[in-house]
Amino acid sequence: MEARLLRSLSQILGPLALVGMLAAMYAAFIHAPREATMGDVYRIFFIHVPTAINAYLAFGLVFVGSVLYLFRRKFRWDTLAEIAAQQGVLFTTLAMVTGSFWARPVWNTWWTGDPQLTTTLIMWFMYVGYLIVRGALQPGEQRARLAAVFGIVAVVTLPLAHFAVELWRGLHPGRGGMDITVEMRQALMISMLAVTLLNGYLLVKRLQFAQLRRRAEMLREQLRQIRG
Amino acid sequence: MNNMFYLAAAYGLFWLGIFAYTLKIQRDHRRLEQQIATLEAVVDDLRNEKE
Amino acid sequence: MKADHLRRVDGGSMRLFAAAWAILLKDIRNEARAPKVVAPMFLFAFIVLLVFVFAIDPLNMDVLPVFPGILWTGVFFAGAIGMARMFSGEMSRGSLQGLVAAPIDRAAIYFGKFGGGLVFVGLTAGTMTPLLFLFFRQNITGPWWQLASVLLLVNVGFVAVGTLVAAITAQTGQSEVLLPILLFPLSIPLVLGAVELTAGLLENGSFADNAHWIWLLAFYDLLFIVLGPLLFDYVVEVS
Repeated sequence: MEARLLRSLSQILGPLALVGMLAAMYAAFIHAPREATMGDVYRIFFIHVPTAINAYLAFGLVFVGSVLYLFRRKFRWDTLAEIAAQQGVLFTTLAMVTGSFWARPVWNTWWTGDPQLTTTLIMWFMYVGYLIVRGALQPGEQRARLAAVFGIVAVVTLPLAHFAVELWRGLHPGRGGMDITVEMRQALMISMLAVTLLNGYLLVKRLQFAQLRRRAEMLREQLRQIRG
Repeated sequence: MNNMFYLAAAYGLFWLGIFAYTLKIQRDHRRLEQQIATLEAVVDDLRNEKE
Repeated sequence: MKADHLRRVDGGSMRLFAAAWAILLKDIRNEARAPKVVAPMFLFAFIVLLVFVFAIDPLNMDVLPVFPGILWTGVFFAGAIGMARMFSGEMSRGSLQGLVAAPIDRAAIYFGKFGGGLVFVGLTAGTMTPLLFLFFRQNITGPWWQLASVLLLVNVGFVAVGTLVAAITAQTGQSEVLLPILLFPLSIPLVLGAVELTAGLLENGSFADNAHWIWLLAFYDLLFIVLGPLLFDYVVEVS
């Protein structure tokens, strides 16, 4: 049943994500007008913001998967947490890269001690750490349990870290210094939706893959029984 | 304007990352499906032999 | 499972405390015999101290702006070395299973280990801090208990998280490498609070401008003292 659900989900999400991303590119480069002070570079914004938000969404899923695993003890929740963590790290990396290419011409630096940036980097370290812990353990019940605990600790600490960094540095002055037109807001909405669909599609694809792997394992088990 | 370089680089790297990830998923998927097909065939053969 | 539950009901907090105390005493006795946690921590702390003195040359430079950072970098690194070994005795002898199977609440194991960590890391930090002040020729202007209370607040939070994470990494067999990687991002709020509070103390000898940092540290401590034993239950579960 789960397999069929995933298949139909990926069949719906795939084309939607593709069309969405094409529309997002159109919206970002053609629909949205040039920005008065920053010129065209500001268009990075349309890919950067949705990517960052989707990283947060993915890490939220790690938390959900971790909690559900500890309560239900079903491996599918552990698989969800693992995949979401990997995808979250990917999206965080992309958000930091696109952000840097925006910061270089606009703030005249690749990187600053801005609270948002610092928290994002801390978050990146936490989930890379999460994946390293997983890599250090044999697949199975113990790995799922320990990873789930760390997944919960990471999410709980993040708001505190963000708050602390904000206290430490103060809010960045550059925020909100942009004239946002209606077209820009529409473009941002479209790209937000598109990137979220893409994130969802890739997640479903990975879940499908995990299911196939379980099927392969079952077949190998059958083979052993027939032979042995 | 040479700012265009940064715009192109940002979008370029974003798409590169997404494409690489998608390709990896697809390749793994295809390989696993082939493996499963072989396994299924072998299992069926062995079953038939036993009968 | 049922017996466990019953024990928790009739055992009460006194038995939890007694069991935690027994584990703490056992760890201190073991340390007194062969200091597996404290010795590497002390040694590492001194090495870090020396490296900083060589690298920064406090005699010919105004180190006041960087001193809090140096102090806490040293303390956190040394602390991580110690925390990574908190469970090494149990893991190498395989006695963690024995401890978990014993008729005590698992929270007692957590609090016992937590107490041990507080003592060991506190000892190291308490020795290292005056030495750093000495070598870097710094003076605190206010009463000494202010810095000591910062040390205590940070220590509680660090060890509370550290005990939980160390129990996870101990089971990977690569605790020495993994624990610092996991523990440092988690202790960022503590590091920032500690550095800011110390900088304030060096500047004007009071917490006056930094009360919010004390609240943040206190909140962090409280959060992990509650969350620590709850999640520890899952970490040491016998599967």
